[in-house]
Amino acid sequence: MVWRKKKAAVSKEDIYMETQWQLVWRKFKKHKLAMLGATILLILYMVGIFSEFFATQDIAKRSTTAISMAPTKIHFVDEEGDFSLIPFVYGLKQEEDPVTWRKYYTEDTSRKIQLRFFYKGDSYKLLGLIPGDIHFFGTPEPDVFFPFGTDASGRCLYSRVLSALRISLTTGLVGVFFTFILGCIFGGISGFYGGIADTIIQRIIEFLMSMPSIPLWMALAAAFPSTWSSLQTYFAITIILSLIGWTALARVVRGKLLELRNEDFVTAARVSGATDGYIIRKHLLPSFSSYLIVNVTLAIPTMILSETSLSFLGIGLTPPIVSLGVLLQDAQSINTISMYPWMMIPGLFVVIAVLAFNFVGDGLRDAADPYK
Amino acid sequence: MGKRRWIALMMSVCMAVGAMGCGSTTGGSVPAGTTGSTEGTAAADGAGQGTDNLVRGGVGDGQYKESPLVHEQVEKGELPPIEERLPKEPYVIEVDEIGAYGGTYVGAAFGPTSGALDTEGLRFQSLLTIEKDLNTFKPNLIHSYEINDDFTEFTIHLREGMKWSNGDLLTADDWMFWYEDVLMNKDLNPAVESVYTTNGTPMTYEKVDDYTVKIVFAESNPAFEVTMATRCTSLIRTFFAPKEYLSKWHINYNPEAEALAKEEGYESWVLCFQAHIDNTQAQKDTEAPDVYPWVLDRIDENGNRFFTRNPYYHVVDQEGNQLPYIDEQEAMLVQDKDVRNLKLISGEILAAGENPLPVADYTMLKENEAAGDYQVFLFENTRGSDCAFTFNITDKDPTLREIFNNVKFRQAMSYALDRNTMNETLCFGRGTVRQATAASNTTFMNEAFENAFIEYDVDKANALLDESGYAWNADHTVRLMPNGQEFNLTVETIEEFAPFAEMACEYWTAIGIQSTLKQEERSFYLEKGKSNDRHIQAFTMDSVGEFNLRSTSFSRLRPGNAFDDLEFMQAYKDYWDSNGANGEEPPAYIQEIRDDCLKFATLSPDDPEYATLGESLLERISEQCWFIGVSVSPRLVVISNRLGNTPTEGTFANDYNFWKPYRGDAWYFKY
Repeated sequence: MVWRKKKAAVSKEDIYMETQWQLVWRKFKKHKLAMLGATILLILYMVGIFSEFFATQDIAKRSTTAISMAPTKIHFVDEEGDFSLIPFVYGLKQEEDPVTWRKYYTEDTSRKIQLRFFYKGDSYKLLGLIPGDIHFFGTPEPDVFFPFGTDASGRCLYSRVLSALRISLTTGLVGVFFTFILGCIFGGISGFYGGIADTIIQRIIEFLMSMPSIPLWMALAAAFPSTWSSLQTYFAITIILSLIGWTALARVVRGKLLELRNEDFVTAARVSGATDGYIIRKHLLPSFSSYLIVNVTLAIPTMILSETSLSFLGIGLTPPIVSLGVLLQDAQSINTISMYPWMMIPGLFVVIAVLAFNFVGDGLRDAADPYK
Repeated sequence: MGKRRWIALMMSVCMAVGAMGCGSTTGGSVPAGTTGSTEGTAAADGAGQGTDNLVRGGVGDGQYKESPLVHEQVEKGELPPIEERLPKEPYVIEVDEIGAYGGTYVGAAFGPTSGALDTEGLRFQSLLTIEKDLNTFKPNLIHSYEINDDFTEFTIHLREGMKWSNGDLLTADDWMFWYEDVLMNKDLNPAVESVYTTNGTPMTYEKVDDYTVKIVFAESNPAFEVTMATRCTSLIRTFFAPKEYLSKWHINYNPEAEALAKEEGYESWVLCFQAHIDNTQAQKDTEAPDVYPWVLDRIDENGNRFFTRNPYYHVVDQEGNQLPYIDEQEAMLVQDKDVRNLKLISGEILAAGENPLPVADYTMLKENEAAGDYQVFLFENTRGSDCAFTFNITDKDPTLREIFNNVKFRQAMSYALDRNTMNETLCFGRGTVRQATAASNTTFMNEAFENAFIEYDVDKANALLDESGYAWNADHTVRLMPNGQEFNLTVETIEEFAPFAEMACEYWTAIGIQSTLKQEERSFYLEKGKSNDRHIQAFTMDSVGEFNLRSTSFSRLRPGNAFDDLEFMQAYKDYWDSNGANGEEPPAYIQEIRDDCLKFATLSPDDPEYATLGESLLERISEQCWFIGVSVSPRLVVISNRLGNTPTEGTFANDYNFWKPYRGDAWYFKY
């Protein structure tokens, strides 16, 4: 193998001694794109989880002096040509075109505002629990620094995107978690027992797969009790996504089990008196766990996209909850596209997150079977 | 052109981003849209051709002149000459410019059977016109009318010789047919609409002679003039119907009507008759005669509707040219407002006024004026408030009911809103901040009602809540309800009003009344109102102009008539609707306001009591602070520069049938 030749420092004995997972990690590290994807994901998740800290201001805060404002320019060199190591922004003056009512913002070069790390800004509760008011980067001055610009009601898009990342990225995780459980249970039963159970489950799977997903989601989303809060709806949506999404995984599990259940080691276990559950859990599932991991990783971006599509269509999450789909809903009109293109930045994050997951999945697939 | 392409490109990119992972549905709609637009272009081109060599005025040597298109048919003998087609005394209107004949006017339709105001509103005619001053009426479909002193008898003189679009004579028999066999037929029309009744008793028709009909009410009904001017379309038509054409589907005239209905695929003669009489936007019968300037000609496979000129139309301009100038109307189906905006910018759609046309679109539309060759105008609006909030005072939850019935609570919620900021953020600062009450141009309006409880005063709001005993919790973050639980209210609304509701929730939460927004699908939202399951609602408050106040007994402001979208006393409404059989008996003070609203409908504007009672009602309703308003924005109206005789200012409101004062039949293509 290539990597063994290159790294002479690692002796053969060491490799023989390593566990399967150490081998997988070793191989995964070689995959540059996958490592890049993993890094990006790590950053996105960290930023998303601690979004209150990384945000420049409260996500609901509006400023009438900064409506539909383009991303703020960050300067290092001022009017006089003096270089400053600390980046700064200029204060902004709002003007309005009397005919078209379009708002223009011009930099007020007499107001120079330096950007800082760890400044004291809007107070928040980190994860809804830990109170704080320190923000990562920006300026405590209100209404001047909007890294991604503002929306039509003057809210900071940057802060909202960070908050949306938390919702959208965790929808993927939570959804996939349920997918994983459902897929393993139904695929396991179907593959291990075969016969009538297999037939019924496979027909259900075919039925679910044959249904167009959007109308099905719509029907389910409409069935939510109206008394549910937005947060409950959010969890319900992740569950709906996984209720429909488990079929592919179940088929993989079934196929693998069909292949493995007649292997000698399974027969041996059965002869030794092991129960079915025990055999599935201890012998069968671990023998193709790497496949499962790859499958799950690749399922996450689908989940994220599904949530985004649902919310974009207005049948998923609704304000005041902020997800990438909800933010993109504001970017639907030609109004936005022709005049406020920065409103499409949330879309960029969808692309980045999905690509990153796909790279990681790709790397995992290559690394999944280290013995090859 | 370049900019237009760029926008279209970006639009498709955005759609693609949104549609990721849901290819099939969105993908399916793209070809449909494409087909629609190609056809639209073809139609627009056709309009261009037809108007290339524009000659002002019509063809003819007599007193009246007609469209060259119709003239050709007359020469071929397909139509009688114009003198025979027009009534003895046509309705002569004074147009600003004598127009040129020809062209196809295209307006948007948001659905196949509804949302086509921008064609319908230019087409429909009523017995009386609403003149541009929004105050005077002129006889339109009728020759003249007389009212007796106590407003119980309305004598209608028809236009002698006026004909339906198929050439049949329009006489008093058509009126009697509609009244006896349609309006009063329990199968066809189970309940007579309240505008045709006084205090529950329907009007009666008497045929005096072939061209005279007397309408008699049991009680005084001065607002009937408004009804005659505003009623124009209905599932069962209004005031008269083409007897000759419709008789064969009516059981009273054709014993075989049931068999005929079965043959046409309807379950009963009732359904069959209803399908043929309907002249609303859902009209199916393309043969059905009408009296409008354009009549339904065909519906294409995509659902676009085409209306062709009515050669028997009864209106001529001051030089004797028969109207309309424009040959054809097309109601072009569009998916949503963004598609309509694109079609406006590409010049395919020639006018737009129907909602949704939010102030937020103003800048985009204005910047593209040159590209679309149109102009955007700001018209007055007679809404009570673009978004109003109401609290369910008959809430099923006893705690909430007690709170919502506390007038101090409602006032506090009103004081808590920073309306100027809401206006600035949501309406470009173009709205007029006001409380939700009758339209500001109401003659008995008093500024005090418009300004009641609208100042942004958090201290006052807090003081009112403290007085009511809603104490803060230990952390001073949220107030407590009388039952000791923290306030946690849900404001329900639909997408259009969500931004208003979202901001209101923030302001209310700031005074300790923790509130969250819940955005619902429209029909679901309305359904919840009917079953009394909403607590706080946010919706637009329209239909409160003086016409509506007069003709519908104080319209939305009448207790129990706030409409399904804002109803806040559903249990009382049920009580009134069922004459006390269901629901709950309302308290005396509400009953009194309601009774006075009903009384108001019996007063004529000349009656001295009219203004006093109107003002007193507004005052009492205002004190209750039932409706919490924010602001009223101007209406956007977009009209192509190619069209002439079009308005540039005025009022565009439901109260005045939107386009009606601006006579679509007199519009014409300048190029």
